[in-house]
Amino acid sequence: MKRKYAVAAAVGAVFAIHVACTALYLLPQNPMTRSYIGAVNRYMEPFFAQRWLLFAPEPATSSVKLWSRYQCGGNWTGWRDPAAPLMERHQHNRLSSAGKLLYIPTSLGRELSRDTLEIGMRLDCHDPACEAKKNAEVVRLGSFRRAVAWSVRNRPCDASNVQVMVAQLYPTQFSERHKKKAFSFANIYDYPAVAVDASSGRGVE
Amino acid sequence: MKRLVALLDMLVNMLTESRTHPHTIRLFRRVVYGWYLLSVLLLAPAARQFWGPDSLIPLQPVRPVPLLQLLDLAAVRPWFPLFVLAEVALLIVGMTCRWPRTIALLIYIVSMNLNNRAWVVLDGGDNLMQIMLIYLIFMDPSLPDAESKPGVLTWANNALTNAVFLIARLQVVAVYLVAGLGKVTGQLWQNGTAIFYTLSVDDFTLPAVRTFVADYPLFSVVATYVTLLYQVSFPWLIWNRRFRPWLMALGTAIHLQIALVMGLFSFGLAVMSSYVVFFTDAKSAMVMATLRRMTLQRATKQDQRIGTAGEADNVRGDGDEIGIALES
Repeated sequence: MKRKYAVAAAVGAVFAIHVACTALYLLPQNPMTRSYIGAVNRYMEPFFAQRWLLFAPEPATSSVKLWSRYQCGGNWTGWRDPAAPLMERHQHNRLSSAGKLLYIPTSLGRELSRDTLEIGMRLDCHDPACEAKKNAEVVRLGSFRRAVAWSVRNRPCDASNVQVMVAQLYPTQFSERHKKKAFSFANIYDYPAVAVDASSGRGVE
Repeated sequence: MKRLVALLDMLVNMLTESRTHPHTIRLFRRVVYGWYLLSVLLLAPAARQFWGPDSLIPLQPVRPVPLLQLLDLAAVRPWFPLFVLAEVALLIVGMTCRWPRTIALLIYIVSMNLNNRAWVVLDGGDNLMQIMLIYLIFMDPSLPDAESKPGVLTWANNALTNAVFLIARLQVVAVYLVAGLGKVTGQLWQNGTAIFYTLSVDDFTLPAVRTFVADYPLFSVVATYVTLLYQVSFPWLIWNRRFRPWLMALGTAIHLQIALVMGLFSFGLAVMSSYVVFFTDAKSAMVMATLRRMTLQRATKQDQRIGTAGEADNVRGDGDEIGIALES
């Protein structure tokens, strides 16, 4: 019986530690957080990292799009969403890879926005010379090169130049729901046009 | 004092003497591995874009466990098809419950390598399933065997399986507790427009549904409050056996909507899969028996199609083996 107790005590201890760490890890920030979070993270992060804010505290209220336009035969096309065919496929058939493929341009757009914002805040530009410096820094970003690569891979024509734009679209607000608008308002950020060369469509790592 | 000792004895015996939910654990293992198999097969046609050397998914900035991020290495990346094939093969073997712990560990390693390379396409469903994969390593999926001798190893195996099974249940409860309480403070969840906005965002809707929620605001208000009430009440009501089937039926409806209307297919299916841990053992045994019957019926139909007695015997033999595998 002693052995059985020893086994139960050992397993019970592991159980208690795991449940306690999970509970502390998931608790909202509180005055005691700083005293335990280091140890709890060391246990949880490598294997049990988790975030369950599924549409909380607020649901998704906007979508991030990576739009592109192309210079083909000397003329620029209009802005287009290269992910539109994927979205159509995803809406037509939920049981395909299209839904997960759509995460790629969205994350590229988010990553590029974040990096650009960081540069913008650091340089705090107020004159054209500073803007030029900022643009030069932006086009060297890995996230910018990946966004361009994604646009080039989805080009509709044999393009010589490409320009990308990150658009954050907010859907029709509840009070305007009867107005048939594609979206209510948008935050737009367009980037410098770059030449399409042999390396433009490749991954960047 | 005597009552306390008796209670402690009862608890220790309950933990160590036998496994409380052998059929449920077996069914849960198959459902989780089935979910992974479906996921990898759905992504396989675009495998190069998720895991290939030219993938546009950036590498993760940190590598806490290098063994789980082998595909981040430039030398390993071209071999991504091997990881996909290994994943499929291991999941199929995993579903037969052979060499359960070794296979579960290998499935975890291969799955995490694929997940970590394509980390930007993961959602809450993947997160939940990753954690469940770890729990499955520690759960013994074999059915009770009269020949297993009582001893330290058997007690430890039973205790570990029972404890980790309870942890898996608590994990599902934690998901709802955090998500539910998080929503309670949200303005759009409080004023009943959360579902309207979600189903108006391009990424989580269908054109007809967007029009529908605009035309019938009552639907989105009711759906918002039902979702909120469901998530907040799940952690408490799921332990009540009378409420459990109703709660799981409502949850299944909500997650089917998430999978098919909002288009978060793998997420919706992952949460539904996790409900299996709340099945009673008798119900799980019944589900597995039904699956076995269906397998046998299909084999019999195949017999009839083939027509020759000799071949039919062979096919029936295969069906029996599947049945035995399900039961053993």
